[in-house]
Amino acid sequence: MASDQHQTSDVVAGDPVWGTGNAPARSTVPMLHPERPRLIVLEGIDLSGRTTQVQFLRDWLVAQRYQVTTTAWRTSPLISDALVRARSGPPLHPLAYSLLYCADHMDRTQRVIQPALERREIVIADRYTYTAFARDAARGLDATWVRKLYRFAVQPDIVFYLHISPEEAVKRRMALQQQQESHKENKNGKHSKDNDKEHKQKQKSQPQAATAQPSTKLTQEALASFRNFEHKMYSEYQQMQKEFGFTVIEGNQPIEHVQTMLRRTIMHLLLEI
Amino acid sequence: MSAEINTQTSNTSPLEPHTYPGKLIAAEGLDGSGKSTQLQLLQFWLQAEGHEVVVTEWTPSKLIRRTLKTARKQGQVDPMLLSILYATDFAEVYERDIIPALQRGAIVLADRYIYTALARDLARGVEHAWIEDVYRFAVRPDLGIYFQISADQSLERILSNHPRLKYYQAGMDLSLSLDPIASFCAFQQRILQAYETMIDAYALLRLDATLPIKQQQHLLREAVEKIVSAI
Repeated sequence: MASDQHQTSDVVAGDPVWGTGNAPARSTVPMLHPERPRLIVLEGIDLSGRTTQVQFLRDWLVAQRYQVTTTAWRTSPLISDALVRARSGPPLHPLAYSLLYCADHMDRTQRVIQPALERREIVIADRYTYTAFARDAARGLDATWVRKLYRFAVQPDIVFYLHISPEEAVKRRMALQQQQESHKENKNGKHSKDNDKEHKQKQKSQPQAATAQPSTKLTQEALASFRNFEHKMYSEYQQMQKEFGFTVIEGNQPIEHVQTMLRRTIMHLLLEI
Repeated sequence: MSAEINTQTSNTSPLEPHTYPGKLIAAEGLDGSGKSTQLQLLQFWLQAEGHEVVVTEWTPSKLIRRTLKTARKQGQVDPMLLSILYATDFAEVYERDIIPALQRGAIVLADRYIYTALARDLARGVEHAWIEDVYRFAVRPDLGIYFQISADQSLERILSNHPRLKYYQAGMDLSLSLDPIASFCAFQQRILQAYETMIDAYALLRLDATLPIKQQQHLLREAVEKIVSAI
């Protein structure tokens, strides 16, 4: 790599002021283009901060006049409808779910990812095939079969794994829940007292849960199943780390630190020939 | 074509044999090949013999029909995407109906198994190795029968039942012809070729579906008797 390229990346990645760091870089190198179209993937269990980081990355790259396309799990216009319908009807069995998610990925590959790469853009994917590998394995499907299923997928240039522990995910999930409930409480004012069931469950872990009405118990069950699933997903991701050479970033640190690390690595990637 | 059915299932099939107590009999063939009639006759006979019989059908679910409708409004549907949607549908029938019945020890008569889907996908030009891998989740049937008729016979029988060919049934997505009937014939020819490649590979049994109904049933029962032990 040429020395001036090093310098460029240092200017941006090394800037301690997060969010404003691109200004000097832009003035020295006004138009940056990746040598090749790039596919950048962010993976991680639920609530690891992927989506937030993808948004910041996109804004940062766009500010540098890169052409950026983002794509997220479950967003194919064709299949997202089917997935919503599938969820409202009787639940599908694991194989059918797996194939439907595969259809979503295929549709996005054909209509979003490949065209963008052909236009020589940077594509950032919020979850990729690895999410499917982890989920399907957690649901008991054959890992080799799932990998073969996704053979059509474009090979990413880099896969970031935002690492948080499953217990951290549970903690964040509970915080989110409380946030939503207190929001609801503010909106609804006082709740009606006519429901007996909720009184029995009131003393559980969340004092705010009184406004969650009869669903408090369900929430406990849902939380237990959430915890269970995140543990399974976590162990799948841990196993995949080596198999696919993930770039691991600790997700349990301030958002801006994570973003800085992502930017530093991506900057190097974009300057690679 | 031989009027005999050879029941020894070879070990060449890419599908894994199952270990469930039940038996799986799959019927494949072009539309109008008479497989549903034959399966119904088999069902009555097996039930009279005291077996629990489950007949499964693979008709597109509401979910997939709607999705395909949306897809068509958005333009051409990619053959691979179409095949994965059909596979989704089959997977649901497979896990919901077929597997539990086999676990119970029932005899499952599958009116279409994976072979029809494979044949259609291959006729649409989907990569052979990939689609074969997709369907590898399905267990090998104890008996797989291919009801053989020509494309012309298929068309004749279908048109006498339903006056109109459906879009995907006629392979209209392949732009083989603007005329649904011509398109259907061309599409069926391709499907027939695809079936031919599968008969040996998947150890399917060829049955002349132009034979009289009674004679076909007789041959089928002979084949079924070899795999289903008497009660």
